Amino acid sequence: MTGEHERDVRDPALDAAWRAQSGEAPPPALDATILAAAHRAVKSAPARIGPGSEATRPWRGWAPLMAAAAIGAVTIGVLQLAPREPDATKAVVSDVPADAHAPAADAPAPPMAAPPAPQKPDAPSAAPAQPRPAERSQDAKPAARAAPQPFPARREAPPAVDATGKVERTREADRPAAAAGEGATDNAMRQAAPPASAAPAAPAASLAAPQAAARDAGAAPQRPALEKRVMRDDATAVRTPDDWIARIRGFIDRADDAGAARELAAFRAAYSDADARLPVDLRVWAAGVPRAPR
Amino acid sequence: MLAYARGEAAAFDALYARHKGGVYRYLLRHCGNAGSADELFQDVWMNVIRVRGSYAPTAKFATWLYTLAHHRVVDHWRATGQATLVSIDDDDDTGAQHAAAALSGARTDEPETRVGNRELASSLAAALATLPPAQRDAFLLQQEAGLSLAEIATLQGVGVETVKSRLRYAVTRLRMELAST
Repeated sequence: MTGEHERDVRDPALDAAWRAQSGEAPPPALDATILAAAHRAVKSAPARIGPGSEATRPWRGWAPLMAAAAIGAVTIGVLQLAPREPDATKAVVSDVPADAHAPAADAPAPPMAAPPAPQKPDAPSAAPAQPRPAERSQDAKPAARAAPQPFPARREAPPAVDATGKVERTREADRPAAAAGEGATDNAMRQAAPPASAAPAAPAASLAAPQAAARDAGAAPQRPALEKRVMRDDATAVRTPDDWIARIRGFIDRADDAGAARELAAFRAAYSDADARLPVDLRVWAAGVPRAPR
Repeated sequence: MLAYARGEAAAFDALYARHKGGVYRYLLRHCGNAGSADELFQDVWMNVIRVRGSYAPTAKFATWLYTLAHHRVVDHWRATGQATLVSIDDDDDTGAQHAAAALSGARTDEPETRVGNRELASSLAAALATLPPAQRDAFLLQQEAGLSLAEIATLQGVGVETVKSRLRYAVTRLRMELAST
């Protein structure tokens, strides 16, 4: 319909004649003026900010927050995965025997890391006085002197603890008295430490013990009680002959012959001349106690 | 035009090359002299450059461009006192002829010695000048801009039938002028 209207108002001859005479054009100077103005207008205009411009990118505002959150997540993850270092201060060996194994010690046990409290000279004590470290080093017999610096070695090698609460040695060499105390319920008896032979092996044990502790994830909840026991066991590991004698005498005073026998067996396992070191009264009693088969 | 509005100067070059001839002739036929046509031509394109940011592609670019040119011509007529001669009354042939006679380049101003295409072009220009402005405008929009009847009607603000009547009348007049030469 529109095409018919167009044809109605058109004359082909006239169109051709019109096109033939349509040769006028603007002068070149006018072209140059207009084009220059067009280019100048575009170039002088401020650049349009497109959707992809840096200042209008939608993620630009929360990018720092995202980066901070990512760093925080990675940090927490690393801390969760990192193995916990054993607290060496909690495994410091104390000179004071555990109260369960030193019945004669009426005074409460000193703190773990604290030095032993000096004994009062006038204080009556049923048990023999605990020797101070200096005194003990002077009284140490050749076997004891063969194990120099027992404390640092013990600090570096806290014994691993399993989930059941038993103290687990990493090396059999650490517990030569284990054979003598096999079957005994008292952990301290089984963990009676050899003062001479265990000390050289302590550095190796210090490397293995934290790994064993890290493997034992289930031991974490029981850590305070177990650490107390570890401290007690370590205290027995550095007993001197006087310690053994005091412990044996304590069992005899309580009429606990079985306990005294176990202590004697452990003493014999630690010291080959244990019987010779005993006082005369105990030496008579010890003669009646059979030696454990080697 | 959108590309030019985004800052591509080369897009304007293409637009200008495509439409400069038609716009110039449209203005020249309306004004009748090159000086005024140059002035109007520059004004039209400067207006295009100025309003590029608000251009909306609601119609063909040619329609938008010739609308600017048409408005500029009307302003020119008003400024030169010819606004009263722009009649939309297609049947007022007498008044249109008086108006055409006042335009430069009218048939009465033509030299009597003309030959070949030169004579044809002059005859057409003269015949066009004798047309009423509304008929001339419709004819020029059809020939130079290539607009459809509807687009011309929209541009002139009249109905399609009115545009059709104007064009028919203009073609008849021009054909008669060509036949007489």
